[in-house]
Amino acid sequence: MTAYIGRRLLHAIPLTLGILTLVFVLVQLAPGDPAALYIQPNVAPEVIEQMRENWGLDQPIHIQYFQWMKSFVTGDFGYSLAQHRPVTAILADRIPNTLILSGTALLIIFALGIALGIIQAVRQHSALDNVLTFGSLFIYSMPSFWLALMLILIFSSKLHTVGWWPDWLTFPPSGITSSVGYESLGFWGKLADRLHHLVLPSIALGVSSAAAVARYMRSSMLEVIRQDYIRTARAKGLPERAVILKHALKNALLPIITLFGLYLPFLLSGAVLVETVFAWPGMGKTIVDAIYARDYPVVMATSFLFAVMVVVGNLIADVLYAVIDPRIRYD
Amino acid sequence: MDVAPVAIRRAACCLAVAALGCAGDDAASERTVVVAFNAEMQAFNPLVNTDLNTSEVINYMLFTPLIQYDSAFEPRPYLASHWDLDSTGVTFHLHRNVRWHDGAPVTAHDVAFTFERAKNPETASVLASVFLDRVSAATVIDSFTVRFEFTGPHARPLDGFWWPPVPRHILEDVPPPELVRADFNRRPVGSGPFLFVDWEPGVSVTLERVPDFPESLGGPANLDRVLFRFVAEPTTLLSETLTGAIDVNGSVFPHQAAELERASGVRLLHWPSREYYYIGWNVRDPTFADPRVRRALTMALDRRELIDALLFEYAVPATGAIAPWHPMHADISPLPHDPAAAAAALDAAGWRDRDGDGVRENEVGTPFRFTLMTNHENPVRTDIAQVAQAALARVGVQADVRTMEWQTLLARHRARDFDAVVQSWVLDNFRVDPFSLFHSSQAERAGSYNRSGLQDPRVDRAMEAALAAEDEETARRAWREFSLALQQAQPFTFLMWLDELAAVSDRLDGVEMDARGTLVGVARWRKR
Repeated sequence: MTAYIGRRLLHAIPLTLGILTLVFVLVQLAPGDPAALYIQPNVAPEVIEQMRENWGLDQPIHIQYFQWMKSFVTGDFGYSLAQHRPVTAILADRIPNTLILSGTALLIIFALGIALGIIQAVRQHSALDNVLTFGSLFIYSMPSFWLALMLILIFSSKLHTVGWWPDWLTFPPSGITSSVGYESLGFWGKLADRLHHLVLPSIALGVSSAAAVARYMRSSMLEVIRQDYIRTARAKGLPERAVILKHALKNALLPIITLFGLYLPFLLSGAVLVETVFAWPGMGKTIVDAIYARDYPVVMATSFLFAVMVVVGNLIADVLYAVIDPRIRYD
Repeated sequence: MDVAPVAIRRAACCLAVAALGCAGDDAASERTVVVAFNAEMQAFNPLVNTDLNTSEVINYMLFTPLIQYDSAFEPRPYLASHWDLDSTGVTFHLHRNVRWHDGAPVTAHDVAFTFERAKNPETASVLASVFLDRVSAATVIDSFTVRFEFTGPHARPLDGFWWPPVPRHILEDVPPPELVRADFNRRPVGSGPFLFVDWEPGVSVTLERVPDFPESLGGPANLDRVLFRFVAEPTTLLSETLTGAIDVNGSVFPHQAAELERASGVRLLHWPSREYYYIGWNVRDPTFADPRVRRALTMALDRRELIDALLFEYAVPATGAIAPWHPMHADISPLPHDPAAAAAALDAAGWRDRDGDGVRENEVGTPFRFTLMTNHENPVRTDIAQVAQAALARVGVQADVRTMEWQTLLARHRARDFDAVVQSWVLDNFRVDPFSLFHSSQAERAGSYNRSGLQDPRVDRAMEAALAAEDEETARRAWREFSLALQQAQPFTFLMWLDELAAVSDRLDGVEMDARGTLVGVARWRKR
């Protein structure tokens, strides 16, 4: 297994380098340049030219590419042209925020999706099954940014004006913490404040995928519980709970693990919209701002990290396969 | 009292009751004012910053410009207590009791240092081209007296000095090309009524009042703390405003005005902005080469309708490039909305519908058809393009609307690779200097702003006369002639000057905003 992981990681190196080169070319091909950010009335053309020179943008493209690759490989991600600070400082700020948000969303996706899928499979064709099917298709068909806006509208704007609605069930529409008074809270108060801010963004990001996972889980579970070994388990008098959660679940989870690897890039790209709507200072918002500003170093560094996360996510999914399914061997 | 933080604290208490109890009181929120914008600040250094919100923070909060403007846009003393002005230069006498926030006095050496850094081409400072293109040298006379020499006489020379000095003792060791990435820009040491406390990137900037700020510059601010928040999504920002989590929303869009007017606890302010929308015609294109044609295209449009329908009346029709609130604005009558006259003018210019397909053709049969470009990030611009398309179709002109991403649009506009474009122009100061936009010497200059390529001797003459005028009356007459000439030349269809809108919580008193900016009076805001 270790050899397998090592081999996969080695394969990942040319893959990420290829992705990086592709991103570099695409970004350079897009019209516009970072100095355009600074164009406003009365800025003389010579000033713009001098800015480009100060930033090294006047160099030929292949020189820029090799300089950038060289510093990248040595761990220097360069300097943001729009934010005026080192890219590593930006990433250090933003990565934890994105991991918190997408980690919570991932938890919602799989915990909620698997639980609902099991319930629906066990109670197939019941009223509950039908309601959940309807509900999950309804939620699945909503785009995440629209869902985000609706959540804000309902849970922070409208319910705020309803007298009897408890305050703690209205949620702040933006930010990671309260802007005023956060510092004066104790440890638990801070934690509660953070969780309170996390509720709407993580639901917006996770809930529609959870609905999809529930669909997959339902059908996969239904297939498994019709198999002979489940009938055997029931016949030997095991309680239903043990049959489902111990014997059926493990096999039913196999297709879901594939989804784990697939959902990671999906989550990261979904985070782009959700982070913007909720003013969540994560990587998604950073990469969008950077693309619009043609902030090349930031675009490159964030793309690199996204690529790494996707590669690692898929690797984790493949390793989980082997853990769950004894038929799979990677030697 | 802030509503959202209380709700959060209650939630906090629910979870924290066993552990620590709820320690937070409302003292902090009572003294702090939260101001939100939809974009992050850029650099708290007047030498390198080019962002308008950031520049308001620089000029009204963190630093002390030599002059400030009053509400009639006349220069008033600020860091300079008084000045001696003659036709060759100006001598500023500085207040002696203004200090950098690290304790050092603000002196004439700081002013001269800032001027020299700005003038050094390696700095790539926008101060030089925005304010100082008609100032040639600075001389320190004594520690609190500095003299500037002009390149020539002009009518409103003090307009060139609405910028603050930066501290020489901190920045003199930074090489000019490195100033753009100096740590100072994100942790500035200023001299204004507020001092820098914290910048949480992408989230907030916190400033605190300077308790002993000199009375001669207006005295200390009323507020203890101002916290700027950055929320990109307009709906989220509106929601935060309505729930009271934000005291001032400085990024309100016209379509949100009605909801804010209905809401309780919040009032809506609006004032004329420094931004106008226009349709720029590429004058080099034979289709648009004839000024009669360009005037006809303007007359085909109903600007009143655009303002009412797309901007909810938060704009005024534009007649030219000088803002209606500016002392040099000439009140000329706009080109009328008159489709019949537009059609007649197009006929006279040789554009007639020769084959009966509803689109006009010239003598050789080329149809009057062009691409109208705009960027899709701004829905109002896209809407303007579509309304214009419909209005032009009614006079037999076919516009194909093409929307693209902002940088792509800008790159094509800069390269003069366009037929017509819906764009806006923002004034970054109160000087009237449309030279780079409309002078014929700029028409074919790479990267210049005369992207339409206008070369009109009457416009040139009027502009040169106005810029060289030695007194305000002569200048005003020349700017009037310029406005009339520009209207005849019509390189742009000037559409409208926008209003700027802000939502202000009823907890705040003394809030006044005008074309000088959202933050112009922040030192006099008061929290109930």
